[in-house]
Amino acid sequence: MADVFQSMILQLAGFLVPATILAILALGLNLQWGHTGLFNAGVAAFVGVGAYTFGMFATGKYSNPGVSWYHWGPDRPIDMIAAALVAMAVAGIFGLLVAAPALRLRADYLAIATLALAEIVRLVLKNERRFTGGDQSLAFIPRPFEAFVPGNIGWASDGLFIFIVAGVALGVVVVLEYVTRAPWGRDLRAIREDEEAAIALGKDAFRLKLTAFAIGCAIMGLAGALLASFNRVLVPDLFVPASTFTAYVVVILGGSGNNRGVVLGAYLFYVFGWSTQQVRGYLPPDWSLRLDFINQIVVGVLLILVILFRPEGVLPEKKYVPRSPRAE
Amino acid sequence: MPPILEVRDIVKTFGGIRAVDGCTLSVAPQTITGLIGPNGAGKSTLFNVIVGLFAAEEGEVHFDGQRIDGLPPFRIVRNGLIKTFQIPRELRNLTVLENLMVAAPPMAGERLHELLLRPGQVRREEEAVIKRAEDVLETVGLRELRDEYARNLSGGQKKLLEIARALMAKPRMMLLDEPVAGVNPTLAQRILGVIEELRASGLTFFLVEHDMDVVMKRCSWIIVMHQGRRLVEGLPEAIKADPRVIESYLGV
Repeated sequence: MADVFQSMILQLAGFLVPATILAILALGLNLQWGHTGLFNAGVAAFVGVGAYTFGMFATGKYSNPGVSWYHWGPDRPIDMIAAALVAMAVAGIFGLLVAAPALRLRADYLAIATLALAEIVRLVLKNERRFTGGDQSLAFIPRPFEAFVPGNIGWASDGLFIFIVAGVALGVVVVLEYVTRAPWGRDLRAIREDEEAAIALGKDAFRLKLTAFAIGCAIMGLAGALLASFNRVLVPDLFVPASTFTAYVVVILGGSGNNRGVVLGAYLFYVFGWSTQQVRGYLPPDWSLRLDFINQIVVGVLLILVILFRPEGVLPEKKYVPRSPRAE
Repeated sequence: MPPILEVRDIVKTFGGIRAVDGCTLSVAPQTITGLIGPNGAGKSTLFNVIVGLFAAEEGEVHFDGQRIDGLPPFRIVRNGLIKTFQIPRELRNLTVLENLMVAAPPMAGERLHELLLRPGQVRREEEAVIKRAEDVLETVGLRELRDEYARNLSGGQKKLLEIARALMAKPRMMLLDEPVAGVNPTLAQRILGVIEELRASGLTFFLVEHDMDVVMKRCSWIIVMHQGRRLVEGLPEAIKADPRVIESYLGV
């Protein structure tokens, strides 16, 4: 009986935690793409930078010349909350450094610059082995509250993590809802609709774009930190540039410009992935091997269908209809 | 009274073409001043230079005693000089009300730290802006379209929206690039009526328009541009009779 309960928790966490982390990083992308119209082609890079930064700072320096296994870090690991904040800051600064020159140019250049960054980050993670651990992995990354729930009680630790990611996601949603419904968010949407018109109406478009982009990247870094902590181990292949595509599927499916829609989109995406895995057992062996590829085709087709028939997504951007102050 | 806007020796080239070629002119405050001239005379280019959307190679622009050339366009707007677009640039997926609210002068809620530190102030300012936007919509007669998406407006309504939006920025002077071109006569009269009312309340207008009836009837001073320069300026009657203007623009 207890075994059934424990395996249920493990299954639930295995579904909910990655889905919620995907929701958080998609929220970051939604601020950039959904609200401001900035095309970030390097989502994987910012998540990866956040994940590795958290891993290094929360685990501390590690070197074992005997098996030539290293990664950089402070001499002593720092507090996990501080490490997560550092991860956000580093990802945000990466965003600033890429966007500052690119945002002064035509919109396409941001896409090119971020795509290049994604490839650079992947190569650095893979090859700078004394810094990142490379393919040897960066391991032993801690989870919060391990003093209460030791890591070897897998189901309890996983179960607790559901609440941690849920709490973080809720916080991100609340903050984003507040700032995007405020005049600041209205300025971002004005830039998305017509940047030159927004400038001609007195908006400092460059500064607004830069801020929105950096905050979006910091949120992706936070998602990376959670991923690092939950996984306990990081390898560079977790952050292949193509995974950026997933974030766009989630944002477009859920509803570009609608924070709640994007969260819904992340869960829908995971439900889809989960349900196809359930089918696997019933398929003949040669088809079950093809399942993952078929999956990708189906996701692509679904995305095209959404763009054709419901471009605003499942939950469209909400119309802003305030009460008239004079009616009171 | 000293001029509110002074343009001195502006040169703006595109490749080998000198679109504005040493143009000097000035606009007196609280007037409706017209800028006319044949296509390609450089009128729209000059407007874009004045509000900072194009950078001129030579020359100076002074607004209200302050030199503004070289300032970024958003600063020029905040100084009180705004331009409407010839082809309306409505923010399509925002509502009419939001289109106006965006244009309001800088608010606390546009800065992230103030959003977090002074939420009360942000809310009060937002309410005040909604109220003012509704008043402006009333003035231009778009009140019933308050919550419509801007993309759904007709061509003439979009022209009105351009003017309403510019008004939200609390400008002292507006540059209007063909405010009634392609608008039906009834709506055109309404737009012109609004402009005259606003002038009476203290605004200055500088407008490009090809409809000579409108220009001659509504403008108190007319400047004629030809080949990137000021050709002549004067009262409407004088302009109508000037042989150089007739030759270059009005025709026989």
